[in-house]
Amino acid sequence: MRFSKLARFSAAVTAIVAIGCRPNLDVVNPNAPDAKRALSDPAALEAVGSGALRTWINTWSACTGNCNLDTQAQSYTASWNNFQMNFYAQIDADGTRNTRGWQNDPASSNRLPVEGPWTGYYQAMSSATDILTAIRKNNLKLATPDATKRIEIVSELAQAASEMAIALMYDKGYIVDETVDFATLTYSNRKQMRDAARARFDEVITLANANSFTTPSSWVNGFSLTNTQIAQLANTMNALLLAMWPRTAAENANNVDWAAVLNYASKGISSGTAWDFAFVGNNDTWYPETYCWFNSMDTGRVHTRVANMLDPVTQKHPWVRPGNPQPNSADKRLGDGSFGTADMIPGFGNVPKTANAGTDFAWSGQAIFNAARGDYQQSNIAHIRYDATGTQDPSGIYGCNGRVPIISATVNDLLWAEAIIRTNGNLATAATLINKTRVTRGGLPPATAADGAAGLTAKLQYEQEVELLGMGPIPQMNRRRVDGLITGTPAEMPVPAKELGVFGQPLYSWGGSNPRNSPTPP
Amino acid sequence: MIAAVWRRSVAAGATALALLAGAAGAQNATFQGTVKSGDQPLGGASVGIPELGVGAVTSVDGKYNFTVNVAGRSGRTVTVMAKAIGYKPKVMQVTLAAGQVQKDFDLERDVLNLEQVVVTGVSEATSTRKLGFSVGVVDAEALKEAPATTPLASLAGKVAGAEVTVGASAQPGSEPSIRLRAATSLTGRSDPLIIVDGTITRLGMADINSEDIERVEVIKGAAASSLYGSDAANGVIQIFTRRGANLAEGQRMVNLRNEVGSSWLPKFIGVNQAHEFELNPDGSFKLDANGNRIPKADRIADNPYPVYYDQNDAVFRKSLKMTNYLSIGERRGPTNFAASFQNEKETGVLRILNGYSRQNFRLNVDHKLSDRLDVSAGAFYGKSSADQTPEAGSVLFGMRFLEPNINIEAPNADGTPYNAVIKQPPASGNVVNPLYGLSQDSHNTFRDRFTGTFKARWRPMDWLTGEANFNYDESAASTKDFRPIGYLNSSGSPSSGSLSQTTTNNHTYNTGLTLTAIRAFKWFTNTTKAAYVYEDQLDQQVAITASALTVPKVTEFAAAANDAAHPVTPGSFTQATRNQNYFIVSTFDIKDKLVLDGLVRRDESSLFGAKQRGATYHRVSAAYRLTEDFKMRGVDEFKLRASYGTAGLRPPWDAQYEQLAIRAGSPVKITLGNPNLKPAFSKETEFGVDIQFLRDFSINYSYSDKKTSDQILNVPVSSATGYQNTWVNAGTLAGQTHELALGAVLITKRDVFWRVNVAADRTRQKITELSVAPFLVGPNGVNGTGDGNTRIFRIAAGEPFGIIYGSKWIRTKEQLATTIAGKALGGTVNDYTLNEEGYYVATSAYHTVNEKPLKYADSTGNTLFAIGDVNPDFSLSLSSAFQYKSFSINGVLSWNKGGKIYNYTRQWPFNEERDPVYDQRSKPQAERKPAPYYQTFYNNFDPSDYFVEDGSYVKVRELSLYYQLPRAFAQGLRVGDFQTARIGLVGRNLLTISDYKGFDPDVSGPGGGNPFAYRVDYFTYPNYRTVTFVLDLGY
Repeated sequence: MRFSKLARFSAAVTAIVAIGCRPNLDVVNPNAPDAKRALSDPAALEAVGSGALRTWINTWSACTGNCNLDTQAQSYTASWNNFQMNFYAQIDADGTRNTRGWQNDPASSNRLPVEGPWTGYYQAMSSATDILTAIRKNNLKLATPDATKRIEIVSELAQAASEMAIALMYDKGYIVDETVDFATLTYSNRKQMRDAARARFDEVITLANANSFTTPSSWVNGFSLTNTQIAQLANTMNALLLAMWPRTAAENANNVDWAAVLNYASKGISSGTAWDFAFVGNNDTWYPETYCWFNSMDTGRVHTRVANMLDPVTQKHPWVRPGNPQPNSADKRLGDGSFGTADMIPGFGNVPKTANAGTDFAWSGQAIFNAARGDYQQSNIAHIRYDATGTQDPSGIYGCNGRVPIISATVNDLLWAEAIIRTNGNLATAATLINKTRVTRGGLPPATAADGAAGLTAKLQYEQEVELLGMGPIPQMNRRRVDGLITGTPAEMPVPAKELGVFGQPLYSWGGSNPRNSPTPP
Repeated sequence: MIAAVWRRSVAAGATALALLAGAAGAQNATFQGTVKSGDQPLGGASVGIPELGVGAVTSVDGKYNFTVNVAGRSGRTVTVMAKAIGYKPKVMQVTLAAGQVQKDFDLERDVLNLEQVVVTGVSEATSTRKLGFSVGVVDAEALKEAPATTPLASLAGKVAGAEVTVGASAQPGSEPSIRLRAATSLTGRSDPLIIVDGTITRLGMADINSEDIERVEVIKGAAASSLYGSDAANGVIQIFTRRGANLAEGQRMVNLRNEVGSSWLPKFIGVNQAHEFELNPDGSFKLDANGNRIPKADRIADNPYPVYYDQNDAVFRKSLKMTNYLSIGERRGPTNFAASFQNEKETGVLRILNGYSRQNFRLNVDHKLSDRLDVSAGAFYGKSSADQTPEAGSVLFGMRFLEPNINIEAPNADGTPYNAVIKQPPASGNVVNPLYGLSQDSHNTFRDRFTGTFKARWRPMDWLTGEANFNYDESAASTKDFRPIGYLNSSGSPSSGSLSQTTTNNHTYNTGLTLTAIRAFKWFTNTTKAAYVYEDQLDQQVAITASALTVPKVTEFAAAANDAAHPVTPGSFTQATRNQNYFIVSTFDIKDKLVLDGLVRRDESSLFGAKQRGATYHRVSAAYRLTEDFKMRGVDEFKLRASYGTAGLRPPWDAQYEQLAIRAGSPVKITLGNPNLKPAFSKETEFGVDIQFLRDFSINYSYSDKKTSDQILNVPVSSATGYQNTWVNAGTLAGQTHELALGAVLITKRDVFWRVNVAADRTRQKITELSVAPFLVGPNGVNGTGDGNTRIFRIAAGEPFGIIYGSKWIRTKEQLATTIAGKALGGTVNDYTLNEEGYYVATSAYHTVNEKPLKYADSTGNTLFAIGDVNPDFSLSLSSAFQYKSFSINGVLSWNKGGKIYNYTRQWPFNEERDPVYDQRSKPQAERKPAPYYQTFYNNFDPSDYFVEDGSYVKVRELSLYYQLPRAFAQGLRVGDFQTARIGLVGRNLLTISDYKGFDPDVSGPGGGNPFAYRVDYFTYPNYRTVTFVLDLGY
């Protein structure tokens, strides 16, 4: 009886255990796809490729890695240290930034500006490479040949633009494309990166000109691009790449193929009907972060170096207490600096808007920055050109919404003009290009051939300072290539500590007590 | 009426069983007798023969009676045991024979709880005297005087090696955190596995009330917790809720406890009441041509504000704390039950908010179907609502930036409360009128929790028991945040409002089958248990956010704007987890003096990488009761014990997977998958000694050596791959803990009783191996990997765990010389002067407006160093229970010596000169420092040693005073049949002595990660004091 009972009990237990013992432990993650799922479906490929472009745009527009460059270049100013934009902009007692080299150390929060762009651009490059691998190596096809070609070209544009950004910002990087072997991947120096990007832009231009398509407006939020525009954009980017690559005035003089810049710019986004490469921000997935911070009167200001250019009489540089009075600039972009209504933004120290209000800049009596961080960081001029979707609605100051340029037509105009000047071209043509903003937007006396190369260059640089504010890393690159950065300010970024750590490579840095940039590659 | 029916039914059932028993009386031995302690009969004591699985529970008058079928057993010698909670068990040897056996027991009170029986981590219920490892036990006696809102908080100061902190927030409705011994994870939390009445619960303890707890057992590491496998490296806390099983036969117990009182902040953070600006003769600020204040030439903050408002007093309040608790239990024949209801209301210390309220219901039923089959079931339902302030960006942050001349109780321009527009120069987006925020924003959470348990035990043989269990746990929560259209920021810009709602549903169940064999042999007894456990969990969440609203006063998504600039953003996830586990554990009890134990467990989990689905754990332990062989004068018990065990930590749910995030409809590479991801592997060796001497004293000492390898870390990968990170097994964290528990009964007289317990521990932790590059972690990032401001704790091989990294200010001549030698400073040491505050400054700037502290740099120019260690030197708690006649006083006092806290709550507003250190008015004129001097310490909000503060404290955690009213009072109340009544006064977090400058040194950072390793003060809801009045009625 005892054993019978035991046997029955054991049998019951065994049966239940046997039934219960076979759960499926291979749980699928339904929340996020893996690469196989994301890339195996032709319909999903477009999302990956357009996502590569979106990632590039958001990285180009992000504060991390750009806002600090703006303050280092003394284009914008802020005493807040969000995105380390104050730490790297501070000036030592001896007037240098010899203690402000990149802190490329995993134990320092100041490493983040070096890390952010690197991560973002390689993320974009990788997504683009996935598309090119799927199409060119795995022969994946979308619903139509045109659709396949369209995403292939847009992906290659994102890939080239990412290589461009690495070539412009870092001393070296990886060239990643569909032929890459990660096991043997090595760094390419900044010249090799530049040349690789240029070649890839050339390929984009060729392909875009050979095909006909229009991209959906969701790919660059709010804007569709035709194949012609893609080719124009690749031309502008190539001109930008070559012109902005120099880390020093010497490189600017000796290491730029200005004829090529002229060629590319003449086919760029301001050739024919000028258009801005722009997107509509939504404060989330399309994030015009630099404009959010520096088109808000109480978070960021225009550096007095630039404000002084707009109105040398009233806007003193450096700033001294009690601060700079209301301007009376001949430049319509600043005008009298009035903005809004008396009760619109209490506490902003603004002057109610008059008929002479500026379109791009406004004055505030309030010294918003912490005095202890140095009065030299104060400014009474704010950039309001993109404030609140261009309507100057105070409720949108923190909105991060609305249309903002990524690379404006003016970028191309000014590169074109500079290339004409530097190749001893027709100065009248250069002056016309400069006047497109100088006269039309600024209301200033036109530049003419009579200004000569030097005079035109000065006016061109003024337009660069005023028109290109907040446009990715461009303001800083314009300063470094004329040796305009304060001594000790780094001119380029090292490979981030995070990347070096993956391979156990030694940490290194630029700027501060180190050289400001790597030697010119042969 | 219902009670009467119930009584009749139970009586009928009992009679029927008695008749059945009588039919077989001829072959039976009937055991009967009385159990008492001194001259007091002990109801609810259990008397039985464990090896035969028979026994009975005594009635209120201490009498018991049970029958044993002696057929086939006649002449066999068996052990009859009598035991009762709080008393030392007694045994008698009896030779079985048909007929009546009279056995009376006189049990001695176990005032030091030396004879407690535990079930956690062992093969079968075992006396702590025979354990090869340490088990902390906290019983209802230690919890009932000052029950905490949640069970985990109740453990503070009561178990050596257990650290309890308020966690990310002390906001009512939040849950504290607990860590047992040393940490096991470099970047994850150290939460122990928690089991409530057999339910493996991963849905939090905030819903559970402490009054229901019968007993808590705590095992603190792999040396004891191997039985629980891959989720047990952090130890196990097993909670048992009240059942009717401990009542005397026929007894009904009713307890009605009401507690009403107040909560308030015992301390405010200091406010700077002086500034550095010039004043007009009338005391108002002098302004320049642009309307800005004019700094004084000396920049010294020694001018008073024209007017001062006590903003702390306006924001914080005295609030209500109320608990109503009713429990009913009864035992009658084969059935017993316990039911309870708790109503909790805690409004918290922030004005305007309604705080937290909760209603809990619990029912536990046990029924004996036959001598060989019994079943148990339980159900718990809890419902709560919380009206809180969001922690991130909360009003507690914004108010720290307010100048003291701002009247936050003033109305808005349109007459509505409260003044939102703060015209405080310089303009700052950080400033918030907390009262406006509290009155306009809403953040409400509603939670429902249901737990159901079922267990059946069947004894087919005297020596064999089978057990099947099914435990189900479900939690549903909905959190809604609403900001109305027109909400003003401090600049006066109106917002277009926002709305977000997150709904979470979690379901888990665990089920298992267990076979336990107990065989007594000539010189040893073996207990062997084999088990299969299956765990299943499904977590689901849906979240929707509308970034702008179009229709005012509508709090649902119908009001949401939904355009390109203001999209409605949905999000959701589903996470299924399955685990199956097998184990076998065997214990040899050799002549009651040597106990050997071993186990093997195999876990298979869907959380492990696809190529690493299984992991095996084991344990061996031994206990030797020395005094069984060697009598020592004055020593009642001397036990040596040693245990070695392994256990694991399961990877986070999504760690193994390759993951591409979907951003704006496009996949973006984030995490490289790792099919070889394993659970972290923790090995612990524990040695200990348990001594009882002079009857009334006990010492328990344990030493634990933990090593947790295969750390589960989220590490960067080369950006060339496009991925950002991957989870790998890399690194080893070692920890050593010394634990000491002392117990002493200082007085035991007829009218006076005084017992004191001391629990002390010291833990040291070190990262012994790290196969990836050093990195920083902190609390406000997922698994400590985020790039938030609080990411200041360095993980590097050879470093202690819990090290704060940052800059140092030069305070010694050596630092000065090194900095100069490294060329980070010019001149010679003679060019610098040590100032009144202990910092070196340039002599040329000393006592001028330019005086500033100097940053230390080593010979290589490095300015980042270890600046603090969060680990306390030791923790010590003293619990005291004193009773004199009808009065009783109980208390818990904790002393935490050492351990640093990084005070961001002080550092961030330091930039706005909000710290009282700026106020120079009390200093001699010559020693006054300019505001820029202190501004330098702000250090761009990067960490520096200026804000590393000593977290030492002495804290009166609990103090209660009760008076037992005369019986006539209770009877005179004419409320039910109450026979006893107590009134009391209870204080919680009553007094803290500390030099810490924040609200309370019991603080840890926001968000995720390890609250014990990431000790940062970051604007979180502060720990507060509560004092309540108690009326406790019962019979």
